[in-house]
Amino acid sequence: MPNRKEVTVSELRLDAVSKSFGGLHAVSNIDLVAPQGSITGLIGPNGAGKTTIINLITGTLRISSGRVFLDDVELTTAEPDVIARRGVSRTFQNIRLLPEASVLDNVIIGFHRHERSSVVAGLLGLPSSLRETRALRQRGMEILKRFRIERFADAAAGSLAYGHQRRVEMARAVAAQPRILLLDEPVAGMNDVEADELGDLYEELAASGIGLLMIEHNVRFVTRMCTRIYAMASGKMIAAGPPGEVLKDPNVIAAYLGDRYAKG
Amino acid sequence: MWIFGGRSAPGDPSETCVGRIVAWMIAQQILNGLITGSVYALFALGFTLVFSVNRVLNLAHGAVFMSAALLSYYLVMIGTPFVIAAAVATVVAGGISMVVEFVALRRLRRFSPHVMEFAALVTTLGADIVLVSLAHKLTAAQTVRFPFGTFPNQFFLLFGLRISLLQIIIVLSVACMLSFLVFYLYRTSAGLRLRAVASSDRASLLLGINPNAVYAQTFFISGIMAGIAGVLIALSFNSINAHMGESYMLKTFVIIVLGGLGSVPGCVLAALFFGVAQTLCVAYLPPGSADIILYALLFGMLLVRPAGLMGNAANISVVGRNA
Repeated sequence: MPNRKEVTVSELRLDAVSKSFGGLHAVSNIDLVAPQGSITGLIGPNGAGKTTIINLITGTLRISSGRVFLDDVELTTAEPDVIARRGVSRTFQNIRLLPEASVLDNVIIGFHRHERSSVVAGLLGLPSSLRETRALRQRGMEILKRFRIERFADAAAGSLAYGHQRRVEMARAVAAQPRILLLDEPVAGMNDVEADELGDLYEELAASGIGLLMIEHNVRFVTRMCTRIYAMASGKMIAAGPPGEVLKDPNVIAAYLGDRYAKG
Repeated sequence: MWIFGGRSAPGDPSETCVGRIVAWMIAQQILNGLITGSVYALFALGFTLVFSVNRVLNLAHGAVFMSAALLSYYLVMIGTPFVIAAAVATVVAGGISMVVEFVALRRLRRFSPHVMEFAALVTTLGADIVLVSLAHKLTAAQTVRFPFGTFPNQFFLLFGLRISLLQIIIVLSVACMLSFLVFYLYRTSAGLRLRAVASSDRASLLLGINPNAVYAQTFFISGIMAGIAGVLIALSFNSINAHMGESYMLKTFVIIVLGGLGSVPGCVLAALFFGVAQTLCVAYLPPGSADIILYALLFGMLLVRPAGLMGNAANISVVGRNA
């Protein structure tokens, strides 16, 4: 399990995190490390508590006990907007874009925490604000090109196909220049070709120094993408390690397929 | 003053053809109605902006409108030039609106949306009562009026129709505020953040946006709009009292339902229509019939098109869409 004193690289770290809803223990005593510059997987059957973990990291849910750190900065009790400004971005299982706004506007909103101009400067149309707006639009277009959706820049985000909306959501998350990016089932509903295309983008992001923590059911995809996997079942961590080892772990097999298969 | 729905006589008595005189009178009333409607639009837009972003009916909006009118009167009475008094009153109205948001709504947001919506009706009504009661005390329950000559009483001819300097100022003010609102919503980062919060405050939080800052901005702008409308209406009718906001709140409900809840273009269109219909009813129908006809129109609209002229039943959030 992780030890603060051994930390040498920038990372997201959960120390003995638990969450209870009344008498129900949604997650218990979870330890997890997601280093920057690599892709970490979080797998488990439905109801294991994976999305709860993401909600706890982002501050959407309050942690009952335990602590969350980004490097040495504790995020345990921080508000969601503060955590986001610290460099934790996420995507959603159900895509949440501004459906009526343009694709480019959806990406530009991601730059929000890096803007310098004040609201008043924007309202008065001061040259500094106009310059920044132009620069943001240019950077937004660059990100759209990176995700190969620049041709949709002026289209309403809600009018795009599912796969393209997923890319817009990713582009928005990347625009925020996160240190850690949390992906909740990023290739759900996609075929293998589409998933592999997105996978290439995730590898590029990791290579650029962003740490990715990915919840995913697609075992083939997780095996390809992740350097380390955590497996959960019934709110508890049951295995952690390289994908090859975790997927062969009897506890993981039992969680997915039942005890009979684990023993066989 | 005659511009808000009063009967007016033709300006050129040399016109002898009765039909043309009637047409001129109707055209003049339509012009007056459009100007009245533009002030309604300003008032209603502030209300609908808050509703779109906060999902609450701010029942204190009328009291903010009244506060600006009253403050501008007191500032003029202590010798402040009218333009400065109007500007100060408008900004203070924005501030009062922010205080209403902070006191009456901020703490309610921790509850579920349904609980908050109901509680917000009670708390904003409470804020309204406080502001109206204060004004009641301040004015000793009297109607107050600007001194004669506060605003120059000049008239001009526009395509043969009479238009006053005040009416021109009203049209310019409303046009400026509408342009500002569209610029703010669709051309600034702050507007983009506002649209993001209107679309989903939870998702916005996770993008690092502080929704409380956005709510405060929304209320400030809404208060500014109510303030400008309050000062313009006070000057037009030269009649200010603690309850002057109440009738405008009722009209606003009709306008936003007619236009489509949350729709900016629908709100403007409905306000202009409402202004013209009201002016024509007052000018040409028996006294007291205007309200009957206007509210009958409302019920008719609800039966034929429940989402309003430009509303979308599936998506009542105006600010999430492009202009």
